[in-house]
Amino acid sequence: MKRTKGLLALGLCAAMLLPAAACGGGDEQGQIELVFWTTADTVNSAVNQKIVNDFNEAHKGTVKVNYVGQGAGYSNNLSSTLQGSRVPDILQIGEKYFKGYAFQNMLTDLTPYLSEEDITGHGDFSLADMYPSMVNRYRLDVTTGAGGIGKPIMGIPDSVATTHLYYNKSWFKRESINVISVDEENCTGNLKPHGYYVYDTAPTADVTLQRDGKYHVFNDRVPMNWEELRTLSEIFTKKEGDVQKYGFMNEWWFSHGWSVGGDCLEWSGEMNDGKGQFFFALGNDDPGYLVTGAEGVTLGDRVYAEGDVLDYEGKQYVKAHKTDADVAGYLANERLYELPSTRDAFTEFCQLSQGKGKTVDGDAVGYGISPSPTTLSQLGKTKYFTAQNVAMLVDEYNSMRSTFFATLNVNEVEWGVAPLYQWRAYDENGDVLEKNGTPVVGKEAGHSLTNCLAVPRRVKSEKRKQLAVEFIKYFEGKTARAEYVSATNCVPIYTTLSDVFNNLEPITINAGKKEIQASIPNKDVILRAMAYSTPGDWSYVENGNWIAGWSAVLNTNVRDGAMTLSQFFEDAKVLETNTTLKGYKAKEKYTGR
Amino acid sequence: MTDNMKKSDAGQPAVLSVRKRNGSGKLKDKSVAFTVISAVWISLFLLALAVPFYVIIITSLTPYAEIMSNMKFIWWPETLTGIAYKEVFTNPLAYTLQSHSLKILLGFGNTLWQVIPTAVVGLLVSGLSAYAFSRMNFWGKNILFYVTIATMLIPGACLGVVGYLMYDKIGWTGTALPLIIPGLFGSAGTMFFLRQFYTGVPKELFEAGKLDGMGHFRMYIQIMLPLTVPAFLAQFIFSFVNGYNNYASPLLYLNGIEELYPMQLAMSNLQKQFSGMGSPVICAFALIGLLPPITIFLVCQKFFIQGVAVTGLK
Amino acid sequence: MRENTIAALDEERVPIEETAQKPIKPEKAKKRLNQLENIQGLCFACIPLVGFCFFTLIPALIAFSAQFTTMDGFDFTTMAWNNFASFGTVLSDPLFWQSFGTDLFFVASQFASLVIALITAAILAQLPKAGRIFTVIFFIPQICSSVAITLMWQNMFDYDYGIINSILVNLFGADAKVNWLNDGGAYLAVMFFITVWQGPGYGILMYKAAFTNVNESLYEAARLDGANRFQQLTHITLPAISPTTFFLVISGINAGMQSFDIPYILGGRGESWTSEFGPGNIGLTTSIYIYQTGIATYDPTRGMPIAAVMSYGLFAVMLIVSIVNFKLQDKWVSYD
Repeated sequence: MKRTKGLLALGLCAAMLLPAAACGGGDEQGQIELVFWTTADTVNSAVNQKIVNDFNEAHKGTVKVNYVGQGAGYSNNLSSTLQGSRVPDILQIGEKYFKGYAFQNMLTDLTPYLSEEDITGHGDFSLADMYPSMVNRYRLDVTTGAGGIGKPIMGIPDSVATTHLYYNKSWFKRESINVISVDEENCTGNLKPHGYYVYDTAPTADVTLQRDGKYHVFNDRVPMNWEELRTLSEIFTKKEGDVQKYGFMNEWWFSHGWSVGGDCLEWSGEMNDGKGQFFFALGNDDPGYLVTGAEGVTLGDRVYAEGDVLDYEGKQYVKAHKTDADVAGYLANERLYELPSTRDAFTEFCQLSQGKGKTVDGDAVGYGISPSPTTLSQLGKTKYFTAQNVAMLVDEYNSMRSTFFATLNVNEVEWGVAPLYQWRAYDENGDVLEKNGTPVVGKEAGHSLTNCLAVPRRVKSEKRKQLAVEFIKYFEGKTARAEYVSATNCVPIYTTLSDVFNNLEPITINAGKKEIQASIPNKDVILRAMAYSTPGDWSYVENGNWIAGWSAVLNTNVRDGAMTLSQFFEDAKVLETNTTLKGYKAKEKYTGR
Repeated sequence: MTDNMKKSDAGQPAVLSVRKRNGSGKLKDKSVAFTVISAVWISLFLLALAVPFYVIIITSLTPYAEIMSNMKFIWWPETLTGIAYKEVFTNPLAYTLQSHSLKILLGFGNTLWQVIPTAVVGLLVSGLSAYAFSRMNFWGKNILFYVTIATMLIPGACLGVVGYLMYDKIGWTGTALPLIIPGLFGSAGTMFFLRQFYTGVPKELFEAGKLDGMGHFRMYIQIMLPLTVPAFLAQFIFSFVNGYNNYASPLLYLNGIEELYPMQLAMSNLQKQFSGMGSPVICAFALIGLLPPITIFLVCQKFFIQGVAVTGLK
Repeated sequence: MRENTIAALDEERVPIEETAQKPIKPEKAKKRLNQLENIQGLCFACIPLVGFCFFTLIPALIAFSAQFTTMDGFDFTTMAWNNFASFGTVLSDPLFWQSFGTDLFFVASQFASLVIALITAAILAQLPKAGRIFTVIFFIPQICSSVAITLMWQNMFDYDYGIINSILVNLFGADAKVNWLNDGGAYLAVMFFITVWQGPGYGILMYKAAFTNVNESLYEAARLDGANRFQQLTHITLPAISPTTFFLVISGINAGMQSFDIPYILGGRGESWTSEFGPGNIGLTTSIYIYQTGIATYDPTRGMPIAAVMSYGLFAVMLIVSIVNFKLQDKWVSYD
């Protein structure tokens, strides 16, 4: 009896360790259970679950998908699970992390699992009917480092958040600025195709508000240019009591830089001992060019069509062959119309938030129309807008869904959505400048942030991988996506689902005592942004390590006015960026611009 | 830890003697300056303590729309509202996907089952080991004792993250097993502390037990345990509060399996998910999360404080 | 409670004598009993050691070998010798050394809260009734979880709507606003405030007990010798409370060197794409760096092997602290 008790303790120890042995692989016979990991929030979790249930219902007996919605910390959990022994079969991955995992050989190439019909056809699941920028950012050749059109498909687009310019309509009215909504092609007669323009006489009947005897008109269908953005913002920038109000805020410089063909990372074939590498290009001061004239231009072996803005390779070609007859000719008759350089665009962006009169670089001084981005948390950013401390804000689509309705509408503040600003030149009449018959307009540019679904490389069997792709095709099919858009008020990833988005029911907001109906404003502008928006610089290479060095200097010394941009580009920490970039495997960025 | 030994060696629980000595000498020569300085110091301390609590309480009671339409701290909102607390229990985000249980309640429940078995069994097992070392004779007792004590010197906590390799291999990651099982074996530190305590228990008790025909296990359960209930309880409450506030280990091992999240992970998760809803709901969550340990502490404070002073446990 | 125990011990003595008259068992049974005791004792005694072997030693050994290898994900059966490459990577990583600096900063914060604890306890020791209540109140932050505390303070330090900037603006005007969470120095201050706010309760408790335990006759003797209050403090009080100080200093080093929760949550849980903890990674402690490297961000050229090297670096430091603690406590600590 006592002996047994003594041994009991030993037995106990052994029993505790038993679970260690009791872990086995999955059963490949009969119904296979797949695990699906995705982020979940209030709006998407119910509909995700429903789509998964429908799929399970339709595939009873063969496959069952277990939906695991994850909250905070998803990116960390993803990392540990991809390395570990219990890999989920289907994963949602944000585009910021996608290349990292893909290049670490953690993901399955899905191309062999997709049929020709899936890729080029127009069935329920159709990559051809999705926005190309979404599909192409998940095409990547992990052996060569090349990415974009035609490359292996490593992920299927899942969800998207576009960026827009939000403006405070009530505040515009308080400042006697008329808000109209006229498409650019209908801006005829007295009405000029401007995002913001000051008229001496009212251009249309519904323009009635006067400000200092003039008519200030904001058109939320036409992009503003840099100058209009600046002058409009100045109206709102003032001190009310002890509160500093601002006209505008944007933490991304994309609409400035991309619009004139600039980017912060460019590929250089010479660097890295001729192996080529990305380099930090924000300081590049080679001018940008717009291609004018119907016949386009040919630069070496590359052909650029009318309206194209030259990319870095094009600009370098022009720089190297300036004296060649053809290039010199293009420049002389403005078939290559000169635009600001990457550095000009970046300087302009920095001027927005630098204190008024403070030196940014050379004779460029701060405009002081924007709060410094360094003071902001995500909440702080949206709060600037909802607290009516900033009149215009560039922010992602989701802020509208999650915050603006529940605050601005509840407080009875009118607001709207407008296109992102871009580079635009006008003639003395206020019409768009034309050169060789081509309007001088930069790229429409902004970023969208997306997620994809992917299948980890370490999924145990081919069979499971096939079934996983089967599920992804169902989950990302048009039927399911239509359901998703209706339930979440998100922008569809299919070009063919615009109607579903346009016909969305108004959203009901619970404002304590009363209920308010609200609908998404300016849906056309949002859908157009879907078409032109491209991935941000976070998806150019595998991770964000290259950012840390220079952004710390930018966000402190440059923003404080202690350092000019010229000094910034010479700073040791900034120069180190290129050393970091040398280590990346990615060799091509997909920009779709 | 090693310092505990010394304190226990001295044998005199520190706090016990506090009240007896007060009132003698020192009080009389308190100067005015001292009184003023101490009053100021303590007031400042109280203020520093109260302000954060004021901030989260008042923020949790401010309407979301008012928070978001103001760029300053709101000392007192125009209207007080309990809507944030309603959100805590009614918002679909506050429920898990699989079992549709209220995250904060589930988190509390998970904390209970992940912490209590370990706390209780770990204590009993440490006690059993301490009993063996103090009351039994067996082969290699001294060597085993020194080896066990030596393990206390090893800062195993530093290796928590890399320990993941083993747990991943045996398939314990994504489960609560790594949080529960190791603790069931007790700890050398607790064993050592209890052994000091047991050494003080009169031998006669056990002689009698032996004569009664009791085995050692029975003597441990029936004689030793009842004598050391207060020490056990102090340890238990500590284990519980520590377990309740533990953030790093569940973060490491649970791998994002929300159904298993204990309180702290659930709270931090909710904070992230509700970030769009603004600070009122987040503050409400924080307050609700703070309630259980503070309540337990205030109810058992006398006991708790003595426990700290005696055991030196943190 | 404690007093009850001792009282209980006294009561228990009575029945012992009654039971002592039972008949004695024969010799043979006694031998068998010894054998049983051998087995039983061994089983009982070694449980913590068994737990240590399985859950500390084995993982530690796996991690130890991981330092010299590369492997596929977490699968340590794929380990391949890598010629000490990981050591070079870690030792030449400025971020690793910086994270050690941040650890030391946290140790310093712990010491600061110790000083506050010492002063507070010195005051409270003079207040017999109120002292007890205040000890309880001042202990509350210690009970609160780091998650909730960090959340509280994050709110308070917000640039625009935080209470601290609001107060600063009211006192010194709009220019006095501090960009707490985005400025390197200010970020350190935030971490300092949070740690110090949470810290002192425990020290107060320990010190208060130590103060009231100082032998009163020593003071009387000193006063007779004409020692002033300062001399009393340096010659009697401080030496007398040195064991407590020593213990708290060691605890402070332990807690500071392994800081994780507060800087992790304050730094946004590493979820930003650049996964920076504070501006310029100023809030990155070694523990966080290990977690990020081994688990939360995967890079096949780093991963667990690098995390293992860093872990053993921290391990070595903590082991030294632990051994110094063990060796030195007899030497410079005076036990009354």
